Amino acid sequence: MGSMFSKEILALPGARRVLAAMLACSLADAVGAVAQAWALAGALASLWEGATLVSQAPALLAFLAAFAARQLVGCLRSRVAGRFAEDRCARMRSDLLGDVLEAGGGAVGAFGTGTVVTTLLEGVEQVRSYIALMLPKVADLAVVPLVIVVALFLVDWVSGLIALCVLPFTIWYMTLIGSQAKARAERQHAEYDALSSHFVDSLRGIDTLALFGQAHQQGERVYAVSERFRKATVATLRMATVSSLVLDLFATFGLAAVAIMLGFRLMGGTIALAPALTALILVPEYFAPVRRFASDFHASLDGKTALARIIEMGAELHGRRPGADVEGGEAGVAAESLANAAGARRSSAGTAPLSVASGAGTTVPDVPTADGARGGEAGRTGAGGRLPAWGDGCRLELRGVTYLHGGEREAGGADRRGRDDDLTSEVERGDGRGRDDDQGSRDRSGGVHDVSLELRGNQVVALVGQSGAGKSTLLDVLAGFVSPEAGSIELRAPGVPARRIPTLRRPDWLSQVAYIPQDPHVFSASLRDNVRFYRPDATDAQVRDAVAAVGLDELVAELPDGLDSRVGEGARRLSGGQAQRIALARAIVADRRVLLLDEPTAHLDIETELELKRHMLPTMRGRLTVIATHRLHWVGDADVVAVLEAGRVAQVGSPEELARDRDGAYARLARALGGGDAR
Amino acid sequence: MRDAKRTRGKAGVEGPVAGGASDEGGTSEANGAARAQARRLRGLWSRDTWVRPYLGRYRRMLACALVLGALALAFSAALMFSSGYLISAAAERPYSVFELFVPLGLVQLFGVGRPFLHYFERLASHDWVLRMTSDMRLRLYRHVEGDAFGWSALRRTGDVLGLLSEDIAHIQNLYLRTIFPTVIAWAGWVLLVAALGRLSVAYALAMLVAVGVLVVLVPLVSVLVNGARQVRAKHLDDELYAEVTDDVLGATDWALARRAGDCVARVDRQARLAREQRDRVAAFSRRRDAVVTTAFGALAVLVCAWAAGELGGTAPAFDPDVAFNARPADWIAAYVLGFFPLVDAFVPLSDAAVEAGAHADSIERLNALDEGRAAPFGKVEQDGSAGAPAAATGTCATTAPAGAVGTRPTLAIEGVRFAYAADEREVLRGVSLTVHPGEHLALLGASGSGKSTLLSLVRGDLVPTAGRVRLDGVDTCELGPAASRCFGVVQQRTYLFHASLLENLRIADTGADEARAWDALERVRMREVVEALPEGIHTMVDEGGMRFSGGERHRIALARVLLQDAPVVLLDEPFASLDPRTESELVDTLLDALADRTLVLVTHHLLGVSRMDRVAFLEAGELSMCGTPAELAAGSERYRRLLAFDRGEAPGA
Repeated sequence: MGSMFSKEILALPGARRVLAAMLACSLADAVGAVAQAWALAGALASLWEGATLVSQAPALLAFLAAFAARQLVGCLRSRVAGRFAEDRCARMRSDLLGDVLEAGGGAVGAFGTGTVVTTLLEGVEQVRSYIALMLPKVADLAVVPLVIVVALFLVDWVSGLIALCVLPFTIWYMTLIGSQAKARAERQHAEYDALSSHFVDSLRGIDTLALFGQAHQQGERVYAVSERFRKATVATLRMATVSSLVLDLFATFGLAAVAIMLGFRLMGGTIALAPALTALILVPEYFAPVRRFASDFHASLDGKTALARIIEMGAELHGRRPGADVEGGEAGVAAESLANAAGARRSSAGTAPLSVASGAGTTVPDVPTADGARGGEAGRTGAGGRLPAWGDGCRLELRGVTYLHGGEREAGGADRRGRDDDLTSEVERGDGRGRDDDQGSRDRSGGVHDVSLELRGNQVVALVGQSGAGKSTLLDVLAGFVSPEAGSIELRAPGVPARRIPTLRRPDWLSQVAYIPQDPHVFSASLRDNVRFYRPDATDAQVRDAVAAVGLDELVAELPDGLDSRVGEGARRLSGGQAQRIALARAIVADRRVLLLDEPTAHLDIETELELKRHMLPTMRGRLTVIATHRLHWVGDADVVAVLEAGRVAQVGSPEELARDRDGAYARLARALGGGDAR
Repeated sequence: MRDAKRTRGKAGVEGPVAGGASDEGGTSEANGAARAQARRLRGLWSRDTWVRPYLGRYRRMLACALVLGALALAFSAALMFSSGYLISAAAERPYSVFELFVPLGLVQLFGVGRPFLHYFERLASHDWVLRMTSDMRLRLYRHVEGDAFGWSALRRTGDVLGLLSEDIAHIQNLYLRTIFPTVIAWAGWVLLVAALGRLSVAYALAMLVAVGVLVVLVPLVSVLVNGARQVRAKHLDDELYAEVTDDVLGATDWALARRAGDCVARVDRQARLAREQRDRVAAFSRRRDAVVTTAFGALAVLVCAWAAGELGGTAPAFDPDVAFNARPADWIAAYVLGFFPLVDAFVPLSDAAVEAGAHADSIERLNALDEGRAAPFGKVEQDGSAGAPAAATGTCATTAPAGAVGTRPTLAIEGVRFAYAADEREVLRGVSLTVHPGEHLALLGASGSGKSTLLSLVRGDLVPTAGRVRLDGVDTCELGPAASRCFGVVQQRTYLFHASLLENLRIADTGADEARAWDALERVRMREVVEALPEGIHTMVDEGGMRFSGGERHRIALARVLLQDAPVVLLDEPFASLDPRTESELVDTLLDALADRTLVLVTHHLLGVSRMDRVAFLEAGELSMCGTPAELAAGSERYRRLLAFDRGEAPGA
């Protein structure tokens, strides 16, 4: 039975105290039950003997008092358990959400947006009701039968013996539920899910069915399948509910056995009526906790699973927080090389993020951590201090940077878009409220291997290559969404000593970066709040300037409330081009000096693409801009072009240099991409 | 940003519940909410066609379930009743066991019978409810089928269909967890009153009233008081859900903005609002249950008092000469103990009733279907292309003569104009175009220029406001179901059903055998991929079709179209989400496989366009350029510029 109650609950702060309170309540309840039975039985026996009602008034009042007291205890108990569950779960959700938002989209993608949202809300809610329900039930199960059986022995040892004999069967049966019946119940659950998913599937694919002239027939199929599943479900139910039938039988059999045994012994005169009635009244109380415990079995299974998932997700995300794997000892190059020697050998255990843990084996130039983010405060103010602000004259050098996760592990953070689709549809299935997203680029499947690249000042750098060449992964490394598994990064700014860091995954880099994916997220908020998202205190003038710079002023003029109009989900939906412009405006308002663009225009129609590019180009000047794309028209606008092939940099140079080399990687790429038309 | 998100309820159920309005819990407000809730439930009850009528179906089984349930309740009362009597009578110390033969037998009967009754009641009620579910599903399906394309357009604005399907599950719960237990408990109430009435009419009437208050009035008040709160909590939860989804989708931006704390604080605030409501609901039901249960305890004392008054008063004789001194007092314990099992059935009624109140949204949504308004889903502003259900403005009888369309038909679009509603902007403003048999036409244009609308008009799913679309002289809107024999369609998103790949292909042609399916896969160059699957063509496609990549899904869609054997194939931006290499390969496949069919390809850029026979540009609802790729390249400066840009030859705009 212990398996039905997870130990994780006891690990929650305050859980032991609450459990102790629950046990005390159960004890009070059991004592109340005994008192109530004793008072009532006494009154009934006296009335049977011919006593007047008035003479029994005290006993009856005592019964009522015990009865009412039990209700009060019950009230108190569910209040305490409910509060505790609410408090713990609110905290759990805040912590997890904080981790999600700190870690950013890359980490979310490892789980899928849908899973994360479901875990945050439904998962936490399941845990809440699990805790609120299970704590009292477990306490009852531990205390009540014990107290009652003792009382039974005191009033009538035979009844006590019967109860004691039946209980092992009940417990044996409960463990049976725990193993065998559970599997059956789960199968039934699965079948039910299959049924409803077939139905939802037919509804969602209704246009496809209509296109093939199958819509009407499918209706008959829906009905037939539903009926088939009804029969199957009832058949399984026949088996599955046998468990509660047997439990029921034990309980009523116990009661009937006690009643009959009492009858015989009363006839023999070996027992008086009052204790006999007491025993009879107590027997149902004896079985009640077991029956109650079995009744919400499914809810408890769900709750347990959800709790495990929350804990796992929390641990994983916490490790992915920016700085979680570096905060602490980052320092100047000289100090760091010392640290590296020690750090390379250090196994990153404990709270260390997965990315580091699985990278072990290669020499990870990780600096010793102060075990996660908590140690970060001290580290940030340490010798290294903040990274310098990016500007003209700054240089960022990647040396032998490797990040293979995306390519090797499906759950890797870099495989963001592709996974998201899976899980989005999972949400749709699960709770019917998911987002209906189109699939995005699957470019993230490719990792990068041993990439060395230098980025300077306010250059525009184009990363070009075919799908899967690693463009997006490299961009993730530059954005600080993932930490390289090998290699190092050096940052030089004029007048500041050079800094060598293992990763850009740190708060003081993230706050300089604007990252614009293919489908930027538009928050469901006013246009103004969307534009000043990185800088909520931006003035109206700044917002308007940015809006004009990206060519959104037309949209603003068209909207009923101008900048205050709500956009995004549930309000006015924006087109892909408009979302790009909003993201661009965000970067302008916050004056982010590093602009990273991942395939910003490929999905737009060609004329929108042309128009958007016209607005993008001025914004790109005056910042370090890195644009990952397979649309070669961007190449002409770049200062430096890096051609990626299979995760490696195959060629770097100015557009003119690349164009001159007829046999180079760029020429190969241009042929491959243009190939469709050339034929 | 803070309160910006307030107004966004999921399903804007009109009614008293102002989503997110903070509840001060004042009595007047609570009264108002309760009254509004009462109004709403009354209205729902009178209009409802999704819950009540079903109670009339499969009556035998329903009656069977309810009778079994009532019997199970009666048996548990009878078990305690007969045990109480047995013990009291045994205390009279009769000579032989045979004197107690009847109570002994009854105790055993009730003890063994109750679990079995309960067991069969559960089976019967589930069977009945699942039957209802099948009926309701079919009904919902037919509704959706009636406007398949409208619904699929609505799909983009949220998963309405999943929601509706869940609503049916809610109605299941309404039956199983509210209606049945209530009916059964009321039956117990009636039995109780009848049992007492046999002995004393006055007491029976008193009990009728007292129990009535507790099993009818209290649940009713609970629904009104707690129901309103619970609905509010649910709306707050929905808002929270929307908010958290929005924030998680924008997690990267929160991380880059370094503002995670702001967001967590805001979500916490929102969660607290919902929690306050839930706390109030919980506190109310906690206290109510305690009071109601205590009241039942008092009623038990009342039963005891009455039984003692009616039956008590004589002392036991223990006279060895008399065989068995049965006295009325033997029944006192029976009546009192028999009362308690009923309490267990009576107390949960209030919570069950409140739970039913929480399903009101679901019932409202389903009922709204019948009234032909999709209002509860909240019509979302759209940029124009996707229409809401029932948006077609024109009418058109589907009376096309079978076989009027040949195997190589000519498609003629003649001066077509279209607006989604009479007062809305025209999406198409006079488009004329003839597509010859076997011709491959590419249709280009910016988003919102009317490309997809034109495709829907071509297929006859929409009726032009002016002008005609004809296929071999037949108006396509008159084709009706026959349209699927004339047009094959590849949509932007290929929907794959949760079934085997073969079944997914057979949607196009239910009679197709495996060999034909393989042939189609071969032609779309999917044979190797499918052969590598664990169960080949019988592999289950994960729901949502995620086992396959975007390019593969389009190939499967193409294979379907090949099986369908329709002479005209319409492709609605099938490449929008593919990388260029995949796209280029797909264009090759497409043109090879469909070489002999008429093809209309809607696309957003120029890749592959030069291999088409003709290119048409749609701009603001009108054709702006039209000609063969060679003609356009020679004659149109704009086309040349776009082409150069597309190939990366021209530096910028």
